[in-house]
Amino acid sequence: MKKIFLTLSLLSFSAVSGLYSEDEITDFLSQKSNSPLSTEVLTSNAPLKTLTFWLKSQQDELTKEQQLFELLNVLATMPPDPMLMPLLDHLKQYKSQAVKIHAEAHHPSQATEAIFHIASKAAGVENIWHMKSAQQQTQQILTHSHQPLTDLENLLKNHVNQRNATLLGIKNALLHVSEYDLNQLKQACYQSAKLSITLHDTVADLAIMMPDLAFAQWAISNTGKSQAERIYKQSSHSFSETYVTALITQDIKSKANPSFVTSLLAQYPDNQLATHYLLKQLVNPRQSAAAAFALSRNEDPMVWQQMAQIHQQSQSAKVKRSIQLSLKQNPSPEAQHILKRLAHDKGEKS
Amino acid sequence: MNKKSKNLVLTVLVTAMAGVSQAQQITHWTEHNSTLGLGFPVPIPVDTPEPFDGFRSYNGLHSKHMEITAENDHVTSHVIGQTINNRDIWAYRLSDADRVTKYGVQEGGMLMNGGIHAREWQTPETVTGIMEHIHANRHDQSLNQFLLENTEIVVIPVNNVDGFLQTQRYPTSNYYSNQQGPRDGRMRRKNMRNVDEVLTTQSDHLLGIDLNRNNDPYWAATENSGNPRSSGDPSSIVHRGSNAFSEPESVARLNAVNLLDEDHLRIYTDVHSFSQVHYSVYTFNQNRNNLQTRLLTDFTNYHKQLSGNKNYVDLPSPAGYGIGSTDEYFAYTYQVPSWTLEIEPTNTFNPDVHPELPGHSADYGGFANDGHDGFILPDSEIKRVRENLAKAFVATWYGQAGPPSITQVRIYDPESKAIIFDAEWDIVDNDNRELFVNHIGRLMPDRDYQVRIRFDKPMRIKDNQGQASNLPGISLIPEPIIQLWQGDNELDLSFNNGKWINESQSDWESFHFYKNDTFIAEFRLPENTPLEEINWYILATDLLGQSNDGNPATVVTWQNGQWQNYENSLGQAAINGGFDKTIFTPVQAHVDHFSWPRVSDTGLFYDPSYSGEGISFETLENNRFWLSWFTFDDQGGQDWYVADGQFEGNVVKANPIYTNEGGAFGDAFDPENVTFRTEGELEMLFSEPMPLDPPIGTHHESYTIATKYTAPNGQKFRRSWSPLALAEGFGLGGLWGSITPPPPGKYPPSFTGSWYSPERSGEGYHIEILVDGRAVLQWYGFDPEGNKRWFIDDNGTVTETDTGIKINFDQVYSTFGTVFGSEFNANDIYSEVWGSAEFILNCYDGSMTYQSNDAAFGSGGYDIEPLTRPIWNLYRCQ
Repeated sequence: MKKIFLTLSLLSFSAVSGLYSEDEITDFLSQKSNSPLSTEVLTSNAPLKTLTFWLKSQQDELTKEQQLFELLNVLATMPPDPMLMPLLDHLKQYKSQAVKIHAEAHHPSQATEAIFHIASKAAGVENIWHMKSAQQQTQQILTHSHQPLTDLENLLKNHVNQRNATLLGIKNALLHVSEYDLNQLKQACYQSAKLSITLHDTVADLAIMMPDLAFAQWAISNTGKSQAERIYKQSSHSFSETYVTALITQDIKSKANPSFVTSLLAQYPDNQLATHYLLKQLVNPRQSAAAAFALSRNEDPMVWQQMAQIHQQSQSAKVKRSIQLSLKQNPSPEAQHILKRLAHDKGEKS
Repeated sequence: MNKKSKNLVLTVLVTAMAGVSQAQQITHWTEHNSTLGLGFPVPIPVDTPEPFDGFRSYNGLHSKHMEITAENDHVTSHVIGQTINNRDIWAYRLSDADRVTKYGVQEGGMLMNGGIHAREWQTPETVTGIMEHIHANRHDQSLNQFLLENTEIVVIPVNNVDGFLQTQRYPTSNYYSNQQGPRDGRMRRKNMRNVDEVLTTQSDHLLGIDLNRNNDPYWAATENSGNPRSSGDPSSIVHRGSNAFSEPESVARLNAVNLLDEDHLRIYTDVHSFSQVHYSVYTFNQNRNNLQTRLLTDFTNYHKQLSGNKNYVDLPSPAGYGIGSTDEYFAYTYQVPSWTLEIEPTNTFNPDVHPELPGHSADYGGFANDGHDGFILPDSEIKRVRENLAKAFVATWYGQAGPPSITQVRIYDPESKAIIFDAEWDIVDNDNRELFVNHIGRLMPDRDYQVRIRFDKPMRIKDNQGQASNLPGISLIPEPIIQLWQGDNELDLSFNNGKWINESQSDWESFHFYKNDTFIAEFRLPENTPLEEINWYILATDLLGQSNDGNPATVVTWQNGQWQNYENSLGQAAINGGFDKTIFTPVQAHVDHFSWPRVSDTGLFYDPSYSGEGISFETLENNRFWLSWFTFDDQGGQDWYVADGQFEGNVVKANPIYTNEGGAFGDAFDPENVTFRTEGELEMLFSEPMPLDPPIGTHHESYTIATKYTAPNGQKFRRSWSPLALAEGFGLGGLWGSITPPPPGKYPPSFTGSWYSPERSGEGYHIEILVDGRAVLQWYGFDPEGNKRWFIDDNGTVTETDTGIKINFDQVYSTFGTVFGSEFNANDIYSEVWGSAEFILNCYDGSMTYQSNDAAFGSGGYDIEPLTRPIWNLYRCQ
């Protein structure tokens, strides 16, 4: 039976037009190529017409689509150009003909994937242009507007279908304006009666642009769950231990998942403020799993003893389980010894 | 284009071309526009077990798995092997301890593999998301609880642990060149054979084995084709290894099958990213292929209705082709639906299967600069992805748990609140059921009835408005189609006010194990219905549109690539099910006045075919009952159970019944040590009353009780119980209320009931004074070693005292010799005189003393008081 399978397999491949093997693709990409298309199109007075004419030329699909891809690479580095939008729209609909079998497909008939993903790349270039355009508009708003929040909100609302690109453009602009302008924006935030949900992402970006504990706390309180958690997360990537532990141990009222926030202290096993806070959280059954997770990194035997004490005093099975799991994850022999001692307590799943 | 613009273009061109790279060098993924610019923040794993809008570290994910395992008795963790670098590979079994469903049949197995390709971070998150979803909803009395209790799910969140850790070690960096694309670091696909963990070691960055090319039966099968799909070259991205299953990660995956019953594996999924498709495997078994396609269509249609409306397109392979992937192994070895799930985003396919989306990161507004950016799902999307896929897999596994089967059909007389007909399928062995039928009361033309049909799975979900609902996107028959036939004639009637039951309003209007596993409708047989047997035709569909089994006598299971024993409307083996035509009911002539079935008075009952075990049953105020069931355990020791609850009509449902442990005979008894646990359920269906002419004592009527005990594993034991003894003062039936009772006093029959010592809660005594003046004792307790024991004497002598009565039980017996359940044999039972006991009872207190022949028990006594005071007793104690 296996022989029949093999024969069928051999017959099957190579029957699809424009289908290239990985070896063929690698060979092709190894060759130095000239790309006259970009020059032809971009210096043309009628870029789309030039492209359409060029597409009819007698070249193999692989060569042709490589040049299209390189054209798109060039467009990606250019500022938005309305004259080239029809060309971009045309390429967004392009159906790649040079294809390979998807790595996990069992057979070419299961649909093949483009070697050069022209259509999605064209959509990507459009996103880049949207980003650049949004960046430019945001810079105008930040430097000239008396109502920057309203204007930024309108900018986002006017580009709902390009929201991510617009957000990135705004973020880029925030990175490039003066500290004075940023402070003006923060003041506008503080003074807003109720922050529009449309602006939550931008406010989160602003809060993680530079360490500003007061603004971070305000932003955490006034944005949604996702944004509040992002501020905590990104702060812990970008800012100092002192800043982050101060931020997390503030118990700010927010929509963030408190367990998630608590668990972020795992990266500061030697920080006293963090450890004190975590031990306090450990007695709360709602927080115990996250606190125990963070404490599993702690290397101080005194802390393990305190955890054992909480284990003995707590009536909560969840708290006990969390402490046991935490000690289990701690490789130290002394922690393991404490764990063994606790395991004799009644009523837990071993 | 003007001159200025042209100059700008030329500058851009020169700059752009200068960036073309030929050599492999470490390159970074960035948020901003660059060679590997994404257009969104580059995800960095966060060391947390908590799900959030982003990706967790391996350590965080593993901690979450362990947390779930510690919290959930239905989840266990297992090391199934080690990686190349000797790290443990974990699998998790989501199921109860046994391998049978609540209905007593073999559970189907579901297997899922995640994280086989290191860079596909979506997959460990998705597998973990499924665990989290099922765990969070484990008490939902719906799909998730159903899966935990009726299937075996085994998931491997991260198969390629070493590789996954390597990608998380370098979340923004990898080697890159135009020819090879991105490799190693964040874009590592393969395992870590012959690779160190230092990204800057360039010599090994292309090495490793592709674990999805390392499997039979198509390992190296395309080697000599024009387009080989795997390679013997160690630097190839699809290097297949030295032989099939050469890698420890591959062997570990095979080991995972041992965590479930491999003969009942029903589905396999290897979770990958990206392209938003199902790469399903067709084999040479057409039925298997059809069923797989149907299942994946349901998956897709449901998923498409969830937030984001993502469309997963099924792209099946022709039979007989393969590349050495894991799904081929499971498809061909086990003949089960098996596929590679490619999580979103979409890809740029030809033909385009996702015309609604641009593909790659552009699906999320990204730049699509490099085709590999599809492997990097934005942080902002992963929460939706894992939550939606969890729902879709729950639905899919629910389907593969098996097509629905009718478990019970009952007919109810709303006026009397009595069940008049009971038909239920009892499991006989792994493959067969038998139909238990009990014609209890009268089914007559021109009278209102209700029919209740129960299935072996939840048939609907509860929507946000509390209504029974289907899964969005999946069409089904809203309500069962019920037809009544007499020979070739279909009766002209309708079933009205049909509803799926997702709340328990009463014993009748309640679901069984799961919400919406029960359907109730009203009907009335036409006045001119012939008095002939009626054949019920019933057809219903489950949440995936699967029809019920046409004949539940044979248990549906999955073998040889399809459902087996799944009969259609003609009773023939099929893959589509059909009308169940196995239920028949007689029709009786209409009469206006009759005695309807109801729960009888207090008494002792037993099954003459199972003499040696029985029950003391007491009816109490407010339609409550108390019962004690004396029987044996599996080992031949004595055992007893107790239960209380409310009865309705002619039904007593003790759900659950309790057993206790931790007690001891005599002074060693400590009520603090006594613990109760549930041990299945007991249901008693009382017959229509049978008149006693002449009456016996106060008894003017008698009953039989159809009793069903359902063990926790779904096994059922039935008995037909009759009165063992008649207690004086009870049994008036319809005459109750028309006979003037004697004034309250200290009549011996007024002491009938249960008694206990408050200091010894956990043991007790049931005492009855019979119509012939004798007293019966059932004593429920323990032996000195703590084993359950019961003692009996049915020949107690009653003496009236100034304050009440004294009862002497001179020969208290204990019995031995048989076991519980189907192996029970009354002929094996023998009894021994254990000793004697004396009870002195007043209306509100009393005492008991005992003297055992066995020195281990010795002698002693306790103060006692009434535990119960049964109603419908003509004699009241005062």
